[in-house]
Amino acid sequence: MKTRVPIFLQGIHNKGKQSKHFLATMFVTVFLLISSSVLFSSEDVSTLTAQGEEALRRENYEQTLLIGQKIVEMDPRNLEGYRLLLISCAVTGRERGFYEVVEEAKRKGVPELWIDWLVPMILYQAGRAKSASEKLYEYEMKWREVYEKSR
Amino acid sequence: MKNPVEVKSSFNPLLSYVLAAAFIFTIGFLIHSGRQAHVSTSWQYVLSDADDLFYWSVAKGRMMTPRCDGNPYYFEEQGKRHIIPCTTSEVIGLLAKYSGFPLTWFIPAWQILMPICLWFFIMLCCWKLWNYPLGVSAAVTLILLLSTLFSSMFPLMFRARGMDGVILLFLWISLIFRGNPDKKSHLVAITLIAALALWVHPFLIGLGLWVSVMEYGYALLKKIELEKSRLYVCSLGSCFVSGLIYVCYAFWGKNTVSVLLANSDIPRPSLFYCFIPILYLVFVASVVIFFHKRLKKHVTQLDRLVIEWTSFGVLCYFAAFWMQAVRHVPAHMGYFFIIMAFSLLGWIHQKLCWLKDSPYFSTFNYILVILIVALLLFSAKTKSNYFSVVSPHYFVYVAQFFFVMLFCVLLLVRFNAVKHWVSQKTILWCVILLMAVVGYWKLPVYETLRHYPFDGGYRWLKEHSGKKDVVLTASLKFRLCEYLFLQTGLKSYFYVHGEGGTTSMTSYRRDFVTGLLLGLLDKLPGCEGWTLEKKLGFFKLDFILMPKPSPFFEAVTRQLRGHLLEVYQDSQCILWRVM
Repeated sequence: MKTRVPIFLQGIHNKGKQSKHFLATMFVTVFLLISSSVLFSSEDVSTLTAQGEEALRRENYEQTLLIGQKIVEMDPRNLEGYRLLLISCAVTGRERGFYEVVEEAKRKGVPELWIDWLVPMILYQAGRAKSASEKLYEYEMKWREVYEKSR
Repeated sequence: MKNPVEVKSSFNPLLSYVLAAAFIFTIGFLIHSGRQAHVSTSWQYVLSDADDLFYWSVAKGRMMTPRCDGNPYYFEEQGKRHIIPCTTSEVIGLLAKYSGFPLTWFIPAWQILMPICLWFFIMLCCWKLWNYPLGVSAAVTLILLLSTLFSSMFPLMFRARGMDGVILLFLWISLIFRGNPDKKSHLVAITLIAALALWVHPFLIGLGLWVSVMEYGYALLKKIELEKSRLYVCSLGSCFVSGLIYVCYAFWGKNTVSVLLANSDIPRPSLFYCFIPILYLVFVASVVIFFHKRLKKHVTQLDRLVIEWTSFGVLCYFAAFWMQAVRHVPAHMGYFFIIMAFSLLGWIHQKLCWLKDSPYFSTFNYILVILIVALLLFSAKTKSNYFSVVSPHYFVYVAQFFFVMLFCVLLLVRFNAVKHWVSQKTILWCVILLMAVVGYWKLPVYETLRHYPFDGGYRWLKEHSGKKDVVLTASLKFRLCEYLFLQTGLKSYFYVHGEGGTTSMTSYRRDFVTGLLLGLLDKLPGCEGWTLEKKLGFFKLDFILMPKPSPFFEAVTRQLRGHLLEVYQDSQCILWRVM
């Protein structure tokens, strides 16, 4: 009984030029698919970041929060995503959420000093200068510790 | 009453004990300060605690004209005094001012002499009022004071503010229980002490008053020791008069409010911790009832004292739980530790001596063994050492000390060999010396002062700045341990212990410094539309001092470009004049 080979696998069965051509086409297709997905993702994050900035400008913090979450889901080490999340949490008074985002960012591999610097910046701009002062003190102590170690 | 011959014969041992104590506390001072000087690389920066630094800054503030002991740090708050008097500190300041000796000379004198005085007066109380033998009083007082060095809660030996009032409190309570109302000296002493205690350390009089009132109430209720009413009336009366004078002081004249009193962020203690002192109270009361009912022992003065301070603890915790205004009280209960530890030790000793001759002693031994096994299992399970548990709650530490004291006293009471061994003077003094050396060596040094970077900057400021200039330290690391005022007499732009004053914008300084360091000075809260010049000029600002290296260098220089003139720089700091 003649085995029915699916059309897209026929090239593999057939030896010679046709099969080589088919394999090359497959590789190119796979490459294009991967690169296009990367490109698509990158484009999407930047679009989302722009949307997040726009939402921030319009002081729509619920939307900023959603966009930040989307960005972080797509790219767990995206600094802009965490910034948007932190701003929306700070402004809307989500104290617990704010520090959960900080912990999450550190867990996902965002540089600690970067996030520790961002925290007082955001708190200060959200009108919580006292907390910002405390966090800035913690940042300075960590910075000095890292600096001393690197010497 | 002892005859004159006995008193004369006991003079020599007393002198030898005083000399030994002086030697131990001097060694202790040299060990601890030497370590601190090694860390900060200078003998000028050896104060090991932010409270100590505040104490000496107040003394320096009292030397200034106009006086600025109310808030020694801020230029705008000169001429004010503190609403809570810091009497000994002010007296030292005035002494330094009128004697012409530098204030820094008084620091080692105080840190050596105060522990000696503390030891001396407690020893004197134990010996003369509580009738313990001189040698025992001297040794036990020294051991108990030195044992506080091993706890993270009570390094009282180096807390200048705490030591001054503890002596008076100990004398007061000892006189309440053991004073002789027929002796004029006791009546005069208790009258003066109760009045003085309020001015030396107002926080400590709480326990003194509580004990006086409870004892008076007990005497009236039981209609016993009513002849001692004169002592209670003298102490309560003088405290009342002193309190009235204090109220006049507080509401008359220019006062500033302590940062502690102004701070409303102290969290409410959890209800769980409020029940720990209740547990203590139930335990102590149960023990007292047991001895009274089963062993037919009367309720002693030590029973009453331990019950009274335990109930005081309950009161403090529940007051802090319900009232915002007294929320800081449980955090400062360590000041009462000396009186609590001594009474607890005496109480445990008394109870174990009674128990030893009773049929319950073997049962007690079994219970203790079970307790020790439970403790070891608990430690193994939690993988933490029970004796090194760090807690913000005072009564956790009392439990630690209670257990150690119970075990030590049991060894003494149970085994004659231990008693014999401990009664040998050479061994005892070796133990005390070892405790002192290890204890002082173990005291934590102030790590924030490691390689203190501003020495060169301070020297430049002393030579070149104006007397009333204000310096902003562009670093938050030193917000609690800045020596600027103590070393140079210059004012700070922002310092945590200076906050809580009565100026219209108390948060401005903190917000300004935070904004400056973050590079967000243009977003200073509440100052929208202000120019940089207006922000800079809101409070007097003459210099900015920054440690090197600093994560804030770029932010500060960028924002204040055109306003800064570098006047001094070395390998550790940089100093700008603000134009």
